[in-house]
Amino acid sequence: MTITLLVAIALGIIMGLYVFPEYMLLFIDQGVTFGLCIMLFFVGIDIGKNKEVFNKIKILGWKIILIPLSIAIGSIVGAICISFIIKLPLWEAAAVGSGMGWYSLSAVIIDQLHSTQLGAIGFLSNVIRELLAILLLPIIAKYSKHLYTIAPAGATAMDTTLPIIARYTSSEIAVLAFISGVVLSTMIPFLVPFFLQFT
Amino acid sequence: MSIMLVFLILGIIIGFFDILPKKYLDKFKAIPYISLIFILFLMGSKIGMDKKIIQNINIIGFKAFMIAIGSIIGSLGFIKLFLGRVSFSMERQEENR
Repeated sequence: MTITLLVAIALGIIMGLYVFPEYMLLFIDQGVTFGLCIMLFFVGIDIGKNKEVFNKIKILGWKIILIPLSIAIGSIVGAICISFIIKLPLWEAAAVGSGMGWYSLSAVIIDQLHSTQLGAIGFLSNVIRELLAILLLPIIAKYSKHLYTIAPAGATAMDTTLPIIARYTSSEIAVLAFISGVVLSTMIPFLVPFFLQFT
Repeated sequence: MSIMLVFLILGIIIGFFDILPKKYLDKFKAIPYISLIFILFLMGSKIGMDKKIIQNINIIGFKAFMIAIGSIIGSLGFIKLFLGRVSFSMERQEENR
């Protein structure tokens, strides 16, 4: 599935480089907004349908919320620290970091609200985060507390990296990872625009 | 952006209260995926049309990589800081109740 998405973006880059004329940019922006509205509507339905998540939070206690909260704060603080090294404005780095691995949505929001250049950074950064999470998961599971495997996965803990977390840890951790992923995914559409308004 | 958030919140409300019957939702299953492919294609073409990005792809790639590393280390650090001593064993939760 990820391959299809990468092919779509690669095909787009080729078309943009060699085929599409400059004046198409306006239509492209309108198309992205239209597509994003549809996608967010269905993402919303998916989030709303996860009612069992609320029940599990009740059973396990509200300290569960501390997991996604720590991941969100850590991702943003980590990105801000790096921003001084790579000479990227602080809030721009915060917006990219708050994508937490959900590259499709966060990158498009950044592209629409800020610039195509930062959108490209957001896309690459969050794709890399997902890939690194997949690579790091088995290592963290082997040498450290299983809870820590949820951290690098970020928002992807509810879909792409969930099977890997389940395989290398336990079903208990997988439940926590899923809940954390759902909470983070709900936060991202609000967090990314929040940081971009300061830029 | 506000219009997009309106759609998101509308979706959450519809999903939470089961306003749309499941048989309709199953029919529309492919729509969000198709729109995602469509959006990414358009985003790709914007990147392709932007000469500055193509010329600076090395720098952009490096910055992206560094932010990814930073946010992974940050989230690991904060999980350790806030939850290093907290137990999430479900059995213990059962006993407590």
